[in-house]
Amino acid sequence: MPPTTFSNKPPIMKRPERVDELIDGRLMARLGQIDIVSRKIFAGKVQGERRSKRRGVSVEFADYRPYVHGDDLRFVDWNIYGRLDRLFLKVFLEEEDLSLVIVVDASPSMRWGNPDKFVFAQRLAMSLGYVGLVNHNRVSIASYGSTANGGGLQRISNMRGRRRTSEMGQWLIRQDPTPNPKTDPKAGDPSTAVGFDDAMRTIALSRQGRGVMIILSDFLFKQGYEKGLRYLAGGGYDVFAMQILSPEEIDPAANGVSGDLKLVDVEDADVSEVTVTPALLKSYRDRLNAYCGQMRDFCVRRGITHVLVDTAVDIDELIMDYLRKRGLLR
Amino acid sequence: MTWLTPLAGVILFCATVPPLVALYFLKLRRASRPIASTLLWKRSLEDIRANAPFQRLRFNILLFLQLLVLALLAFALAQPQVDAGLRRGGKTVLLIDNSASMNATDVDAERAARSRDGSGDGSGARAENQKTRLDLAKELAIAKVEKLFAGGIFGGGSGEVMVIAFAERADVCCPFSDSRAQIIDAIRRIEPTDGRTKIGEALALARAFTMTTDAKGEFAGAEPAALELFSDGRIEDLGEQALRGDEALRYTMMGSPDADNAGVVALAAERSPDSPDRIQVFAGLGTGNASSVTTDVQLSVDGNVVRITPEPVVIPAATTSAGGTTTSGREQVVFTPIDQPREAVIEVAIPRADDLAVDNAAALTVPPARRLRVALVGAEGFVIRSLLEGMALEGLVQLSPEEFEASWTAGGADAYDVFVLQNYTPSEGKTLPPGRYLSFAGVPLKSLNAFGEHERSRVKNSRDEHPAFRFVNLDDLFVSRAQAISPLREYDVLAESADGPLIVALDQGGIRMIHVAFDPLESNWPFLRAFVNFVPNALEWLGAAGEALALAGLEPGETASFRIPANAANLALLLPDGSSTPITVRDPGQFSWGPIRRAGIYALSWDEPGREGRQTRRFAANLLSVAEGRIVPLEKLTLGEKEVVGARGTKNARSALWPALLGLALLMVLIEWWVYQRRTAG
Repeated sequence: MPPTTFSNKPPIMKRPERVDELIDGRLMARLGQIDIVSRKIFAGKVQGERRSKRRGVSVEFADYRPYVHGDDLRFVDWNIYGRLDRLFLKVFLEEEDLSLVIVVDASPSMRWGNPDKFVFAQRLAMSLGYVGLVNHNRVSIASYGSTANGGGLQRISNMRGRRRTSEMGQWLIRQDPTPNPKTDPKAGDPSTAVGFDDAMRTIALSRQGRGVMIILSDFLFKQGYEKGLRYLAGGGYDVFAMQILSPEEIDPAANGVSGDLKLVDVEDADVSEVTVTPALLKSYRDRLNAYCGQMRDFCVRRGITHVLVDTAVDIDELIMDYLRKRGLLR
Repeated sequence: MTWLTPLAGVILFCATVPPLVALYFLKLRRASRPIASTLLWKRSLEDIRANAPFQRLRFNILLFLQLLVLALLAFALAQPQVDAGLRRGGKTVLLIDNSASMNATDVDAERAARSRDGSGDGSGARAENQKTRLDLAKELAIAKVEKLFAGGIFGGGSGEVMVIAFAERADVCCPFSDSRAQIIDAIRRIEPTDGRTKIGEALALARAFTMTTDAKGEFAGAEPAALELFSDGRIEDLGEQALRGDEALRYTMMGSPDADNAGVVALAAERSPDSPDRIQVFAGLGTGNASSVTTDVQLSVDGNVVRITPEPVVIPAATTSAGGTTTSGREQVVFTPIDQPREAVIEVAIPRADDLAVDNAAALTVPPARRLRVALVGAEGFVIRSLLEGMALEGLVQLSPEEFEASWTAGGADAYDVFVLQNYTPSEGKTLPPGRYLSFAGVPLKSLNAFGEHERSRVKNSRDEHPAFRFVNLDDLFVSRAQAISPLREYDVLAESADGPLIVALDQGGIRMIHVAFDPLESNWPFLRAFVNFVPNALEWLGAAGEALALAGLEPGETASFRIPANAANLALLLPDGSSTPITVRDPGQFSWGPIRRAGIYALSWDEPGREGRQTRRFAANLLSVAEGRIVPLEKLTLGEKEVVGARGTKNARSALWPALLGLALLMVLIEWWVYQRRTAG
């Protein structure tokens, strides 16, 4: 099925059917040199390669603290006890793994644009997940909004190590934003599709450890994105909200939007009749800028990093250049 | 621009455009496009929907073209006209100048040039069938009326049109009417005149007719009328006129800016007092041309050329001052005296063809050489009698009042040209018969209303321009005792003191009289030279009644009035164009006819008992006007503070726009079809 766009241009991105179509070898080689960065130092469940706020078992000495009842006697510094006749515990900086959670919006609105927003999200999730895997982070990927595969919140959790790459890729390929049953009879049971708010709530409640959460979505929710993001704020995650928009959404006029149109929302079949005029296009641009600006403001106030991504940009360039500058990767 | 049937256009527009737009709302097919989210589009639409309710109709070229076609059809059906100048639904006054200058034939330059080149007859006369400015003005006026009344399917109010022709006087040819046939007939019936141009009366008439009154007959306001002036702008009283605030004047200028004309602007003929058989003729020539005119001048007596200037006369070109005032070039011609003891028609002519023929010749009727027969009535007066005896008179008779009154019944009053009355008052029950009288003191007519005496009077005011006062200075006159009179309004006061009139004149009902309200012996007048001049002047003025008019000549617009025998019957007047019209005399012994419309020689003939054959008296009317002879049309009229620029009217200019609009509509239909084909094909 060709990508759904305003124009009839040939699709720029092909839907991936194999893992190597999600991520090619050259990009994998380059991604092996970078790592996910958290602006916070999180406590991990197992020892990893990351500095933790928790003092623990490692070779890197951090501080002393007075012994309290119940402390592990193995960490008492007996030399100091000998000199001062008081019990002190040696505290070490513990290195631990990072939990990387990638949430992919698989609602029908993502199956739109040229390049297709969902394909873009798949490839980006694959790349970021690969970075997490090769750096021995605990990688989990979730998708919501689709009725495919039985609906509900789909996820694959706690992957670690390069060998899980193929499994992760296959899982991503299986995800498919199905259209709304109102507009497509082949769609599954609409009640099985999970909305953004419910998905974020579920993820926040089932949090396993702390880490980095990357949400890949267009955030064009009529019910609003605020409630869902609010579940994540202050929940122990360093959240990156990556808003993925297609070129047709960013600049409709330059992408063949003209004339008298009946715009049908792919998610709820809502119809909007428009006659595209310069005034309308200007109003649209103003509205888009205002929407993105409000979201950015909302995110900044809650410690969330908002990143606007145009699907027309090259993923290599996005990861190796732009995301490093924004502090997600190093 | 005016609309002949605006209602039809409005109805078509209103009946078709809204349904078309509604159909577009209904039939507009939009391409269905799935979209990720209508979230932003809906908000954008909300932003602009309030400001652009018909946003969906924009940029639809087909709808635009169809609306354009409908609008063009509606316009065409409303029948717009440019340059019609007539305001529909209101009042329009057509002011058509039929003065002498409108007889100029410069409306067809080619024909005028041809006629000028072929002018070999030397008479300066123009072809009879040549079109004049007036002809063209009438055609244009009729064309305007036809445009105004060109009805559409819904008719529409054409308003009312009034037609006024004006020259020396203004005539209402047709009062306000909405009958096209009546108006056009009235325009066609306008005849040319050789009069001067005065528009004041015409404007006053137009205003009077537009004035409305209320139920009580009081002034209730004036409905402004559109004034349509067809003229060459050479209007003598233009400077005295002003347009009112709500008056709109449209001036259609007649004539060519290079119009050529030279004419006789003054003519006088005199018999020498010493040798009355000889006539001396003086003529003044003038031209309004920008270049000088060289021409011969010829003098004819009864149609026979008797004198011609030995050298061509050069009339200098007209000059224009810095202020824009044009002064015609003038030249005087004096012919050597001719022997003509009998009555004769003297004509001075310029044998030159130009655009205005009427002023190329001027004529006078010179009465036969004869002297006055005077009767002196009343007491034997040394002063007046000796003065009369010193004059060259045919005869002088002394009559007593009784003899004078007795002669009335015997018809003897006609035996004398002038009666000089000395302190004469008619007997009880008697009334002075028609005649010519110079009266001193007494109360010859009751209408003088004598009521007493004044003493020690001096002249405070006098009509020095009156012929009787030629070379008469009354400044030194002192009257010790004078009649106190209070004459009726018909009297012309020639001299008056602080106490009342001293010398009055009457010319009414066959009586022509100068009455001096004091006895000359009661004043120092006999010792003044003024008295010696006054008596002959007065006798000449009184005795030459009729003949004097002939000598002075009449102008078109004036009334011919002179004495004829009281028993004259079967009067007929031969007009210059050769036609004859019967005349009915209301006052026996007095002929009055007018106003004179055309210049030329008129001949009045009548039967008189006791005399064989028809008796004839000729008189001439001449256009002796410098202003009227300046026929170059005025480009701009200044009426008070308003300036009206003249427009050249062309009858053949089609001003109806509906054919062009229909053609445009057809073109739009073709374009719309082409666009539709392209759309459907794509």
